[in-house]
Amino acid sequence: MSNSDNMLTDPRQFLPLAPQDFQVLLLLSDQPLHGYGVVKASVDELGKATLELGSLYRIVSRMTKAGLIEDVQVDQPDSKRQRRYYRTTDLGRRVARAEALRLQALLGSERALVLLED
Amino acid sequence: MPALSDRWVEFLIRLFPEDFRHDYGADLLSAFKDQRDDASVRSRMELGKHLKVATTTTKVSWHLLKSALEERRAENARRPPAFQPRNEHMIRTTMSDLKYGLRGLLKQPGFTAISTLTLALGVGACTAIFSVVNGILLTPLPYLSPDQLVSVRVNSGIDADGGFYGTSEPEFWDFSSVARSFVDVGAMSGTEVTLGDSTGVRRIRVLRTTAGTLPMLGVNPELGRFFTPEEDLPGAAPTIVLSYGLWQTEFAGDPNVLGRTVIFDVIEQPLPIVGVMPAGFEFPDDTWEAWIPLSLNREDPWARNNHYLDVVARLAPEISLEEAQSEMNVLAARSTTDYPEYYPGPGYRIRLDGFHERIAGDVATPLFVLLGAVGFVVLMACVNVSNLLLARGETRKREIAIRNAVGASGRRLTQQLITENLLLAGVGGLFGIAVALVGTKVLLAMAPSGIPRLGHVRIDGAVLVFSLLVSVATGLLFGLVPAVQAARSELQEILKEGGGARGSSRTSHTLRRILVAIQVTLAVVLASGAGLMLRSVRNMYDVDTGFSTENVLTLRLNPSATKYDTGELRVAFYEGLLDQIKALPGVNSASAVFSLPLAGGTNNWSILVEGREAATIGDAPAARVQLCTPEYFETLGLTLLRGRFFDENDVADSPPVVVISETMARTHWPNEDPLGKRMKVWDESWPWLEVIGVVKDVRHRSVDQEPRTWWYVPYSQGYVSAYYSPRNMNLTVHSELELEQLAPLVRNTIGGFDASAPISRLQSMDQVFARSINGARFVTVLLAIFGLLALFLASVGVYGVISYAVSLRTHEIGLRRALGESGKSVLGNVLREGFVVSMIGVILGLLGSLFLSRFIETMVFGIAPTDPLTYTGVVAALLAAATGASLLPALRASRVDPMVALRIEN
Repeated sequence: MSNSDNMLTDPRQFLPLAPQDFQVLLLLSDQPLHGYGVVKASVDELGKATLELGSLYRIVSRMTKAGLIEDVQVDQPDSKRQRRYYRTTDLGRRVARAEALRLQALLGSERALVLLED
Repeated sequence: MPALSDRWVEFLIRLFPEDFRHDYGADLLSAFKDQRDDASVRSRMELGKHLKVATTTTKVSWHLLKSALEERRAENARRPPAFQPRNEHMIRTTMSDLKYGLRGLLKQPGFTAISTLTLALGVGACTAIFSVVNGILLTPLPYLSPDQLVSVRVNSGIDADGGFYGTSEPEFWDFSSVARSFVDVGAMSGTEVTLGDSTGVRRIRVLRTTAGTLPMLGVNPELGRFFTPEEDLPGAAPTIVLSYGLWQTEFAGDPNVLGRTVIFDVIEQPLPIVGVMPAGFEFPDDTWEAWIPLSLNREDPWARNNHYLDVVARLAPEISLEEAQSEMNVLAARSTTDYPEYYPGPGYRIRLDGFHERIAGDVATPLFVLLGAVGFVVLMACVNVSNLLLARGETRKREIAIRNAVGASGRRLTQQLITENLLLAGVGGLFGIAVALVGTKVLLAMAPSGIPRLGHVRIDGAVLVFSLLVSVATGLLFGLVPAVQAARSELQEILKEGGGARGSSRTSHTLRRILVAIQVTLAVVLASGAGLMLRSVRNMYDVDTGFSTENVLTLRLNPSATKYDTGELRVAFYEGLLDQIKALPGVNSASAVFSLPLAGGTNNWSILVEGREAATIGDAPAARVQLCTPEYFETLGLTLLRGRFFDENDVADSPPVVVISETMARTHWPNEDPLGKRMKVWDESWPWLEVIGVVKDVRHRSVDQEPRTWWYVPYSQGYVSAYYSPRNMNLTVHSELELEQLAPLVRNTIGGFDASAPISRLQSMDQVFARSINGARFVTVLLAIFGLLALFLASVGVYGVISYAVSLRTHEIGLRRALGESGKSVLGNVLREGFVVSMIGVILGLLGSLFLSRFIETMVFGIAPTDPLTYTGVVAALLAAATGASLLPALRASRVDPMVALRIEN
């Protein structure tokens, strides 16, 4: 899928996102990360392990095919291991945004507010 | 460990569909490595690191298995069903078998704990012993192409049965100039040098080597260079190459150490440091701290009969050890013809051995015996778990029958049982590795000094693969009998039986009896090995060594070579010093001796016996010489058989005298009175020595070696009558004082007498003795542990099978009791069953022990490896243990209440 296709794709067709997919899109939206980097970032953010290597790469595989994330070249001069880095594509960012808006609307609804107040 | 976990994860990644694997397999592996490294840096201890890696790997494994399965499912959903790969079914079954097995194990924590523990002990002990075998015998020497290195030893024919020993200088030159089989030949000889200024802060064990020796090994210095052939020439200024360890401990790894001159050789020449060898380099073993030139004089070599050089050679490419050996045989035959005076009797022989074998060969037999013994322990653990599984199988019969009835094939059921067993073995193996990590540490801490290459013992990949193999093998082994048994069960009968464990369980009971008999067999073999070794060590303590170790302190003294360069000066030095030590409060006697018993070799010199002509040195007999001051006999409690010891009147200008050992008297003056007879050291120019006394034999080399011929010369006459009075001597001090009190007194006295004489090897004579039999004690302690373990496991086995037999027969016993059989008779019957099973095992075990006894023939001392008393003791102990183990169930049986027993049936 090329970039021009990306511009034309309606992000809403991917919604709703699975929670882990959404999390991966968010984690990769501001900086490229390698596989274990994503796992670590998820732990840093949420305080506990929510992603496992096996399922992470299944998500990466699926979302790469869908054009939501892509791999990027990152210079790793000091590293003994060459790792592949991933980041969210424009389409991915738009999908994440759409999902966030969807969730926001959902969370902003009266019933959700009542639920959160309890 | 990391390498192993990587391979395991690589294997798991293969379970993913091919496309996925192609795109992300490498990534997944590198991410796993990241995670693993991250986990392991969190622990600072080696053991902790291993555990972290193990838990991370286990966790990741589980998730990878799950993800692989899900990914495959997802892929299949995308594809037409015809493309379903075959192995998916297998993965799914294995997963569900594993899950099911895990649940089953967790449901029976008692069974799981006991079998896991048994297996962990077995696998752990086996792995620990294997790690030692691997480090010492299997890990290659740390040199370039170590297989090409050979040791060269000779026998000149003078003491033809005395084994092979080092070579003389001319012989060494022969090898290096004539032999085509070798590309390089090196010679070496040990010595000590002093580190520090002339106050002698520390003595260092250094190896003098020819210039080509170190380069031949193919390991380059970490710093600087080797010494050059020019520096190895006689008269050249020598240099020194440090080991990494010495560089670290004495120079704190100082990179500017090269060129420093703080080490001095025996004639107090400075030895500039020219090189440092890298970490892990040792030659020939890790007891040598540095290397200096040997400085042989090729133009003027020492005599051909002076065998003091150890020789190592590198075989030319494409030349085998056998080919080199035949060339040596030709060379030896030619030398025998050329120098008949040096090579009498059967003549000169040269022997080549692989260098590794030469270094570690002595410990190979005990190590393999231990490995064999621990293998038996593993087998016993297997049999025990097998037995437990059979018992568990009884309770699962119904479950299996139902699965069978609803369509599971026999093969499918066996597969499931084997999966469960491998799971059990895997868990046991994991714990076993933990046991091995601790066990190896304990072994290393316990190990006697003098075992070569101990530094190479560690749990590495090879050892882990070994323990994995042992675990899998045990899993298959202990699972085999129960699995086949379970799959063969007759469906109809079990369902008909209605959940009971009687009737058709007879076959399984027979199987269990066979297993217990096997256990007893193994236990007999192990216990007799342990028994033989225990008696051998006891014999070593009881053997009459010919001297007493009690209340004797010893130390080695190295007075300055320049200061004491004549015999007179040395004699005066030791006499003066000993007078001061003898004057110390609490000291009974003190003496100086050249070669301390059980702590080192000595010179075997050619002698002339008056009245027996010897035209050449080859015709002259050889005997071992000891030089000592008069009080030596008193200090070490030697026993005088005839005549007198020497005393303070035997001095340089009085008639030369000699005291001989009883074996020496028997050998050279059989059926004669040796007193008054005369002998001298080789060559007519030396004076005759008159035999003035005969002492009881001393076991000098080791407790278990028969005494040789010895002659004792007064130290004060050494330089007049026996070539020289040596400079380095051992002091022996007899005192009622504790070692801790006495040592500082003696040290101060020596320091006050001559502060420049360095002291080394300060220890009690008891310690010397203990160290000399440490090896045998070490093997014995391990065998005893294995033997006790075996006895225990066998008793547990007998107990299990007999209690089970009683439970099977409760009904029958009840009936018999109701019909009037006495409790006593029931007791006897049950005990007899236990006795019969153990007796079969005992007989087989005895046969096995007799067959295996030849392997420990070289290790036992003072008894035959077929010693009847030991075997009787072992049999008695085992039968007692077995009877004890069946007593409890037998008592239970004899108290069966007929009414209760008969009611159970309905």
